[in-house]
Amino acid sequence: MTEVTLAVSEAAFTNLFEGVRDNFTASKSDSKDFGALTAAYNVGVRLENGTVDMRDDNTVLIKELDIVYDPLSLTLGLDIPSICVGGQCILPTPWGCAIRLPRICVFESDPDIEVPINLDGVIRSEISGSFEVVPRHESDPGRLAAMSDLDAHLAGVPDKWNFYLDPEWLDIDVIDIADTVGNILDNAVDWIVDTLFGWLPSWARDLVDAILGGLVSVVRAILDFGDDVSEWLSDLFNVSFGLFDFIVTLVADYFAKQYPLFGFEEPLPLPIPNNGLNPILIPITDVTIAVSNTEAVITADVGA
Amino acid sequence: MPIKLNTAAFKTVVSHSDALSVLCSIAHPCQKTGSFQGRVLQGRRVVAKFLLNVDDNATSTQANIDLASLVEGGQVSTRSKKMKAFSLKTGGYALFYVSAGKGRYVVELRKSNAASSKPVFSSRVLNKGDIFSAQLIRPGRYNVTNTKNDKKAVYDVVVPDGGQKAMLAATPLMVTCSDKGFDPREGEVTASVGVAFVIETPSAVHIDMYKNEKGKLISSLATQKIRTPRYVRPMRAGGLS
Amino acid sequence: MTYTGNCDVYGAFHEDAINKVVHHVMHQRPSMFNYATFWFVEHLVELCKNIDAHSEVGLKNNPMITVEPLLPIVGTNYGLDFCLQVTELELDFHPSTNINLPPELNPPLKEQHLALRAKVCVGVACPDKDILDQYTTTEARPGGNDINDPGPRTALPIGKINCFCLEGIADCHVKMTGGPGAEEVSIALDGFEIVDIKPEGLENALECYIATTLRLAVLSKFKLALDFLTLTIEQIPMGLSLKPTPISPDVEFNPSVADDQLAVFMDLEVAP
Repeated sequence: MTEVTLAVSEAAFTNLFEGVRDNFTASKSDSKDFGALTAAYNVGVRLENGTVDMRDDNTVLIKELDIVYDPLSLTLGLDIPSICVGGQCILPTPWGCAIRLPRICVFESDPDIEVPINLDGVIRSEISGSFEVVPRHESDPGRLAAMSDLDAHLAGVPDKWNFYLDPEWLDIDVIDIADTVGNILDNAVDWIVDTLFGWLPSWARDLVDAILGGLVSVVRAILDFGDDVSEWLSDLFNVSFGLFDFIVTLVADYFAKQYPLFGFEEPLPLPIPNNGLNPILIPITDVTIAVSNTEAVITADVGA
Repeated sequence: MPIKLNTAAFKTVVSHSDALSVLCSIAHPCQKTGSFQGRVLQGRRVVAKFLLNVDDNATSTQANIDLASLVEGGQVSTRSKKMKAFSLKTGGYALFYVSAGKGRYVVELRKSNAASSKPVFSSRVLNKGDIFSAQLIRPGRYNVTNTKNDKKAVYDVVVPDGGQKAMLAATPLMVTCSDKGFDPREGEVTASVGVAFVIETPSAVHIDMYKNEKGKLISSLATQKIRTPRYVRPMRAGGLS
Repeated sequence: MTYTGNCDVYGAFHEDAINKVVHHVMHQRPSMFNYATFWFVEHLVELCKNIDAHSEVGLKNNPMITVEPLLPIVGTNYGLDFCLQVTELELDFHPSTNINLPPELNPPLKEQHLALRAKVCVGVACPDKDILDQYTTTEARPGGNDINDPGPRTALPIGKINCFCLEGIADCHVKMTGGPGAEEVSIALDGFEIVDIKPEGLENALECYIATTLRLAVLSKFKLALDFLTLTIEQIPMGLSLKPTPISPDVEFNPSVADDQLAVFMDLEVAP
């Protein structure tokens, strides 16, 4: 026979989920050296939307939870090769080159050119996952061992029953990388070439272009875009930086351990006027939760 | 983001063997063993000194001597304990060149501890066996004169159409400089690869731009102003987007 | 069966749970159930029934009893020490299985009603006859002769404490009280009956006194806020609040007493 019953409809459960979702924020910075190219990014992440589907197998399916990258800035560092002339042989012999002209560098950029690129709103991705709602009786880390329940309540560090969304599985889908990313990165290439060489007279540009095999080609070769800029960007963040794995892990940890769906103090304070006297604390034990496709039902007993 | 530009290389439109400047070089064969003191002059003023040891047992068959770095390094006083020394195998080539700066250097070699003050080599006059090369960068038409016998030639410096492939395949135009004149007397020179004059008669080779890449006449003293920008426009706030 | 078919949040406490809560209140707030004159503060063992209080009551210097004025000896400035203790309190929600309504309360227990059983013990400290003789004097009001203002009373020395206990049964119902956003479930006492005291007038007077004491001193303080009945759901998102579900054909009673439990139905609303 259940002493205490609390049931929450799917709509109310969704409202509680939205409170947890809206409280999530994260940020990360990282950089990688790919040789002639270094890439660094700074990202802020929050969550939006998402549908909540409670199921009869005691789980909650959350789908299409949008990951909003705000901000997302990428800084590319390019090591533009020095432009040097010389090195040709002017006295070849059957035994090799007798006189070789020295190499003299006529152009260097030092340090590497850095190109900050704003990618806000370019990447859209979604998280979906199945969760179990798990109750946990947790002590406040601020509670001292010698504290009674009353002491802990008065000190604001009471124990709690907290209910977490513990993910069974989570996955992230890159839904879309805006077509504009191609233009953004093309603009970046043009800016690099223009900044480095735009001020040279045209004949010098032609020469440098010939020596390097095409200024734009050199920059593109360093950036290594390939034919599909979107795929390049996706690989950069997904594979090279592992950003999406990081986000998934972060979201899983957040829902499972950091921010409960809801919770209550234990023992539970009776909300009657105290007028300076000890608050009355009611122990709550044997807390369980069961999820069906219409509601989540919590059962508990009042302790002796 | 500072850009280092070898402005002298981009500005120069003259290359004189008796006043070495950037992208010019003289290869001189050193057939005799011994220790030689080198002097670098601008006009008549000594601006740097160095040592060249030619020895059968040395391993290098080419000694690259950058006159600009010697001058910048203050290698002037013979009392300096750290006068730069180069070693070269007998029969190898001492390659004198200028990597940067306005140059106009003359280089001389004298036997060390020799009583005579006459140099065994002076770049004021090149002789048989010497090779003078100029890695001309700027496209245009160039007049060439051997001031010792007044023989002339005309070469066009061009950027080849084949792009980087053509650039990589290009070799210096080899020109013989004899008492009969230059052979060939005209031709195309790939920009930055240049031309090499194999000297067979006492020579002082002067190369001067006659017309620029647009066909405009250039006086021997005229140069286009090319300046490394002191300021490069930064990215707008928020970067490219 | 779906609890939230007609609401967003449903909370229910079985009568066993409520009775455990009552026990905890009696254990942790004894002064709500034990009233006596000041003398008893220093002589708790003389109370009619020993108080079983939580250790925190003493540790935090909370009172064991609520101090009341002396029981007046009319026509004098003297008074008697006394104590009144609610020693037992039990609720039984419809359908009543543990408490049987006496005939005076028209059994059976009606739907949406709950039966309440209370045991009250009273003790009066009566002075010994010999000591009382010392106080027989013409100056019965040593303080003054103002008929409307007897002045402070003096306690007569305590001889023997005469205790008696009465058990009564009440018929109650629950109602929602409190303003918007501060709704509470209160217990309203409809009828109270003490088992057989004669003469009937004495029984009626005592019933009146005890019922009034229960209403004003105990039940008025024992209100269950809605958030307690829903285990104080925390972290309700900003802009939302819990409101009682309106009465409708689907929700006939809110709160509801049925199937041995007290239930409330609530909706999540966007806060204004």
